[in-house]
Amino acid sequence: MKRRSVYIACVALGLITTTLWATSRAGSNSPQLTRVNVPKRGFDSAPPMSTDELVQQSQVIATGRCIETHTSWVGRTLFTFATIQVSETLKGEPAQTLTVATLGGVDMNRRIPVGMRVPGAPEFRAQEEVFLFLNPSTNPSGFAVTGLAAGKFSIIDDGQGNKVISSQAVVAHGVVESRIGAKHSLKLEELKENVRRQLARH
Amino acid sequence: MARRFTAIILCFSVVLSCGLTARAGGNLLARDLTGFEPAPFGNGFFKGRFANQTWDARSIPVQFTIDNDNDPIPNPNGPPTISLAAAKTAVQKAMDSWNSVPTSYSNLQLTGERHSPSGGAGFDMVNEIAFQNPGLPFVGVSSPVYLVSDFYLNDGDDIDEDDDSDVSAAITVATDIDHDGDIEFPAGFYKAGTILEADVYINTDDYTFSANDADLGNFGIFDLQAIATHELGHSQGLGHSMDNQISDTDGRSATMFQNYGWDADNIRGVRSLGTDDQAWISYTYPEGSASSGPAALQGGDVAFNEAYGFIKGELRHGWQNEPLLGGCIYATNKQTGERVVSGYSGLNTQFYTNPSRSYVLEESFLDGHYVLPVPKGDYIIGIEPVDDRPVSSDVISALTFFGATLGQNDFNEQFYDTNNSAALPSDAKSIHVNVGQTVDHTDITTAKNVNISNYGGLRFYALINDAIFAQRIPASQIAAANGGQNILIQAAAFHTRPLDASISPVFAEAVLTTGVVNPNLTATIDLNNPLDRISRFVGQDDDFAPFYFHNPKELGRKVKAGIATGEIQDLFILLKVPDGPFPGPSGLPPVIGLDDNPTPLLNSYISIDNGQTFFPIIYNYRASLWVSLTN
Repeated sequence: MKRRSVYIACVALGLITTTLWATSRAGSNSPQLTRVNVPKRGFDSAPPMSTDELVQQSQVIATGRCIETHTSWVGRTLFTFATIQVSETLKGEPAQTLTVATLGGVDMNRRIPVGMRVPGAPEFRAQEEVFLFLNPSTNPSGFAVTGLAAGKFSIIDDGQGNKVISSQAVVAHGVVESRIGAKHSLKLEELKENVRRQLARH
Repeated sequence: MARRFTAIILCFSVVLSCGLTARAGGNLLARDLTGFEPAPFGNGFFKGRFANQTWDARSIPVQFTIDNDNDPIPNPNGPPTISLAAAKTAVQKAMDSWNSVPTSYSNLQLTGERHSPSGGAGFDMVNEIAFQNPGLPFVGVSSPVYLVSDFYLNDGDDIDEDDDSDVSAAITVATDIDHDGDIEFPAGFYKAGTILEADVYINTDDYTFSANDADLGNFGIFDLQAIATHELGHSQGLGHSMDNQISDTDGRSATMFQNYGWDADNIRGVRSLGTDDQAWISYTYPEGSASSGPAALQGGDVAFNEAYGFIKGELRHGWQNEPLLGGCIYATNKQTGERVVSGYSGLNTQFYTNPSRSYVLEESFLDGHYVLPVPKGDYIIGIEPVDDRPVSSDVISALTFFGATLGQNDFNEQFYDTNNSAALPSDAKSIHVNVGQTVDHTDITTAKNVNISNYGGLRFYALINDAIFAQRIPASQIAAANGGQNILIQAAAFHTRPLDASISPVFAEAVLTTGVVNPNLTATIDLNNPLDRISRFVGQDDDFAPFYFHNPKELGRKVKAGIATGEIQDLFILLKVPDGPFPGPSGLPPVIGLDDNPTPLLNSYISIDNGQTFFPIIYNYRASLWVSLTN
């Protein structure tokens, strides 16, 4: 079989040449497929990130439950803080609780009530179960979600006793969908396993 | 009516404004809690609606100072690349881009320099351009502080609570009347959503910026003028746009599109504003909408009402039979094929919310209305879901997040026809809009489609020369669709993108055909007798691009019959990479997205011998077959 040329990587585009064959039987004459991780950068918010990217770019990966949120001023900047009771730490130093800060919020208690909102910043609600990819933050102290909202997933019950990941960023492995978008959700354990696999790889 | 409460976390703001009465997509949304009406269930929740974040006309021109702490401005990755003077020039050019729109009375001015404390000055009634990381890893950010309720500001009011008056009855235009460095507002009534202050942070702590044209397109070096232009859009109350591909031949994005493409041509486009940016800044600050003040016509101005008309309507979700929140509506010029403007549905949506930004929606609160400001012309109106590609719902607005949370982001790209139903391109009806005219009731109800998809979330893109990508659609899945009843086979959709942001991804052809899987796991695909085929298939930039079939009904009948007789074992949808050379600075062909499924489904194949042999691959192409139900 005539082999065709395969584009060689350009570092800026993050190209990795790899063989992606399903079986050795089919792979004897297999060409190579070039994987492209196209770099994107949000001006002021992050695009969806793959699990690989989130794992690599996060110092802490943990699951837990949001037990409290509040908005307060740090200096003259409005932040919303979520306290997370950690149930499992997959990466980083284990901790019982983590405080996650996000820029923005609403202060209704001022005489002149004001609000501020940053497009792409994650949101938390009390009692929400979450899967978080985090990095330490110094100002304010605590943690920031990796890639803004990209590193925060809700964990929900799928109604059949399974804990699944709820995020548009995670589209599971569809079969025939009963309707568009009624895709099977990624199970919590699948995402954990995916993270562990990435951690082992790196 | 049954009451349905849906708890929703989140979101930021967006939607419209101006002196006009309607709100729409294109602007940052504010939570309007005027009256602070408690929710019936208490818990600290109040009833609210959305308002536009916008500067009051009395605050025009909006005055900014620039951070002069460092000259040159530090570069965390090497020697400094920008002098303060060059930075000021770049920021001024960014302001000029917005100020030069003749149909908008928005006016930004760079009035001086100041010291910016570490961590930013924050809410201090000074609009500053600061060169530092404000605490989160943005490249740049501008998040205006706004009023969350209608408010009458009295003389002497201290808005930012720094023991210094920020309101004066002695002025009619916002200005630093006491010369202490911050801005005083004229006393009077202000609407919820009124912007009080809008700082812009350029994160020179973590990223390298340049103001030099020679650096345009250099990976890892952000163009200060482009970033400033985008952030100053937010400073004026504009939100993120979905427009990242103008036409089949022009891949550039709107300035207010979320992502920064490493491509000089695209960056130049970001600097100079697109039609979408111009439409929404004009809608927000309509020139000629007052007889005096900044909105009054002056030399060189063009009245908004003499340059734009409106397209209005309602989106409804067909499966859920309810108003569709946060759907993207766009207008494409029929003659040029260029996407002119886009917006979002849900103008009149209400909610209950608390200070922690949780939301509760009641069924009666849902709303699907929209408005698009358009220049005179003939338009095709399309809709697309805000479903992560090209951007996720939470970076657009609370409305798009609401829609996603309610499961409404699950429709396919469709078009307006006169039957108030979603149409394929061949059935789309064009709308003629004159200046000053409103074409109302341009309503669309999403079709009851079923997508056959066998893939997971995006893992990477595949790049290979002379390749044919083939995705198997098992006959069993086709037979199962619609419970074995008749179907229309409408389209094949592929997740595509170019490697250069200014380029539209064009493939040699897209094909629907039949084939079989062989015992050695390769596939034999019939390229000589395709069921449908199109040459020069234009993909989309980081989104699913549909190849609409020419006769969906006949195709559905033929495939169903073929499966029943065994003549058709499987369908295959194919995408062929064109021959080079390829446009754009990378010189590389367009790519297709693959998934992160840990388990191979063995439905995805590749051929590099012009279709003689198709090998299976261990990942899955992100490609779907769209079918719809027939009556």
